[in-house]
Amino acid sequence: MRSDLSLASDANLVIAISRWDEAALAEIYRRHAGAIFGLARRVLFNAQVAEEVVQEIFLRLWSAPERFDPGRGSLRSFLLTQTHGRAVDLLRSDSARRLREEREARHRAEAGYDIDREIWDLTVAEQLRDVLSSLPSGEREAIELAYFQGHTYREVAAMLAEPEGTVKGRIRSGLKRMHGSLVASGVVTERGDES
Amino acid sequence: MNENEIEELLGAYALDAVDASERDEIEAHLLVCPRCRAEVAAHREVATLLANGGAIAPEGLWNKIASEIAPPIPDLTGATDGLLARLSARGVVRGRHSRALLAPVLASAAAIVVIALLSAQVFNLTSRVHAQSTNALGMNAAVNSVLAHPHRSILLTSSTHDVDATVIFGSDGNAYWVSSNLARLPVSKTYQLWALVGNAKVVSLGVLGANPKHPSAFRIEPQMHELMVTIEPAGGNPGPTTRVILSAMM
Repeated sequence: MRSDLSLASDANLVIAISRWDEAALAEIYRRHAGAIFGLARRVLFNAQVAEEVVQEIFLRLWSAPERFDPGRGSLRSFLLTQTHGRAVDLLRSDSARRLREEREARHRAEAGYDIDREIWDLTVAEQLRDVLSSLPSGEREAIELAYFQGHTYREVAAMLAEPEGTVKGRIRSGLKRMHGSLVASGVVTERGDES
Repeated sequence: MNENEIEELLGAYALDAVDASERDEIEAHLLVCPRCRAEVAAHREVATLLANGGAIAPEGLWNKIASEIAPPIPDLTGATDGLLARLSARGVVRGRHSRALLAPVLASAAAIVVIALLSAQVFNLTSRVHAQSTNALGMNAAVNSVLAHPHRSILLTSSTHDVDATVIFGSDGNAYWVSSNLARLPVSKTYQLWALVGNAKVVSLGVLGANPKHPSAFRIEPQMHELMVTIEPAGGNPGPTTRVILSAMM
């Protein structure tokens, strides 16, 4: 049973979850919980709240596996997208003032932070480093503040004293540039328009 | 926002960096624009790689999740006296919550008892079947125990015979919904199992949930002679409100 599940694709594991297969959820946890926890903790800067986010993400998958559409991307991408959205929601909620303040304090305590440090998957780390280093600093900074610190593009614009239009353009162009480079290096595959 | 303005925001949207009102507008646009959906998917693919890894999930976290999805199997013992026993035979009295709800009802007049218990029945059966369906190991053990001894089984079928479900009967009055190829329902609906008693009386044996692929248990009475399945609103109904989709004589 154990070996069967470890060989199953993510998509097949999600199908098994729709049949209330707890072992399938455990296997997905084994594969992806670290990445989910890492992202939640990175955005929230709070391990305890990050843990709660991980729980919520897996319980969501358990109760509504049909929300994952393998035609639209990988399970890890789906889970991380959900994780990021939930973490950002928590940061922006009215009741999260203390959480935000704690996070800011910890950010200040870690001067010289670089997103390169977060790239952990050794199989793509080198390509990602190249891609990141080739980004114009403005694009890189805008993406970092928006994605890893959970700021809106308006907040990023205020922080960088740049026009909002400039910041949203930099985020978009930076992501496009990275995607193009990653496609060229074979890390990701080109996807056509959805039908 | 016009289409160009929405497109300019797709990068920020993919990183959850837009305001709620902008997000709503963008998501409405994405419903009708495959090109923008593809762009968002590409942006998210990049973001996923940036976020990919970097931590080991804390020890014990899986156990917390597992405990959430698999609540303890309800106490199935103790429903032995008089009315409680008969209600138990209909699958009403299972577990701690059931008895707490039933206690004041038993003190009421008989007619009120029946009405109150029909309401309680739907509530309790929802909890019961959910608990059992998520405790696959315990339920599988019970089913395996029945299968290991001489037993009777029946196949509930649709009128077209392309959909079916198997029920097995233990020697102790328990019956088990073992498997089916019923399609998964939306969360607002549930399959509900009924028994025909006498000529026209129908009693609920339990709600089976939206996706009854795994075993669940119910009790039968000797006078029940046909099993039926209908689709009802989530939580179940005191009586069937839609056509029978599966049935079998017992």
